[in-house]
Amino acid sequence: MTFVRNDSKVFHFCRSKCHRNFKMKRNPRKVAWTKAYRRAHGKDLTEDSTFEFERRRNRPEKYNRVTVQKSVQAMKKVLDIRKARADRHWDNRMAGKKKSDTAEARKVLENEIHLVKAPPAQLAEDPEGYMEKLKVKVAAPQSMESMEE
Amino acid sequence: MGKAPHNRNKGTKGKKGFKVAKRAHFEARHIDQVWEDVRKEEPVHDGTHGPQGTTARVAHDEDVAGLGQFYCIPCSKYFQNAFSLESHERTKPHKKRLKVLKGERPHSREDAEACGGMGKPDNGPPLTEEIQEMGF
Ligand SMILES: [Zn+2]
Repeated sequence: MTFVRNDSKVFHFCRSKCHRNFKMKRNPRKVAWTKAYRRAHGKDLTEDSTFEFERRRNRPEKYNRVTVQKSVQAMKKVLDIRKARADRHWDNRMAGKKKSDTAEARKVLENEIHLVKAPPAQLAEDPEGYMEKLKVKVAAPQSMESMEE
Repeated sequence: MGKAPHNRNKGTKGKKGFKVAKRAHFEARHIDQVWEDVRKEEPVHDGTHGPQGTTARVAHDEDVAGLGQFYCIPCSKYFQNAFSLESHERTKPHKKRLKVLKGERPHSREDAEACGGMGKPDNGPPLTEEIQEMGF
C-alpha cells in the first residue's frame, strides 16, 4: 500500500494495520509492535555493517550477468552474517535474565511459603527457624519506633 | 461535576461523522512537516499564502478562517482573529505541541527504511563528473 502526501513524500505500508495507524497519526517509536520501537529501545540489532548492502538505488546499475550472480551469492552470505549477529545481540540482551529470574522466584518462595506449607507444619518441622522468622517481623517496627523517638 | 454548558442541549446538530472528523485530523499538516516549519528561517506563512492542509504553500481563499490572517505555526491552525489566536497560545494543547516540537526529529521515511534493515539511498556518482569524463 502506498500513500503519496501532497508534498510528494511517499509512504509505503506493509499492511492495512500500519496504514490505519499512520492515519491515526501514531508515533511508531511509541507503538510496541513496530520495528521503530524495537530499535529505539535496544531490542533489535542497530547500526550494523550488514545494513549497508540493501539500499534504494536511484540510479540503477546496468544489467550484467556476472554481477547478478555474485550479488545473489552475497545476499545469502550477508543474511547469514546478519542473523548470527542478531542472535548474539539477543544472547547479550538475555545474559542476566536466568539469574534474575531464579533470584526472584526464590524470593517469592521465601515470602509466601505459607501458601504451600501451613504455619503449624512449618513450626513442627523447624521450630527454631520458624521462631527466628517471627522475631525478625516483630523486631522491625520496634527499631523504627526507637528511631523516631 | 457536570458537563460544560457549551456541550449541553446540542443534540446531533453540530456533530460530524466519525470518518469526516478523522479525515480532517489526518489532513492537517503532519508532525514532521511542522517540525521543519518551526525551524525554517523564512516564515512558512504570510498574509496571502500559507501552509494550508498538507500542501507546501497555497493562496488563501475565503473559506479559510479569518481569511488566513491568523495562523499558529506549531499547531498548523487558522483562527478568526488576533484575540482567539492569542488565547489559543495560552492553552494546554498549544504548549504541549511546543514541547513535542522542541524534541528530536519525528519518525521519517529514512528512519522507516533503516528500521527495515536498509541503508541510505544510493544516488550513484555525481552526474557532472561523468559528463566531464565523456568530454562534453
Ligand atoms: Zn498553537
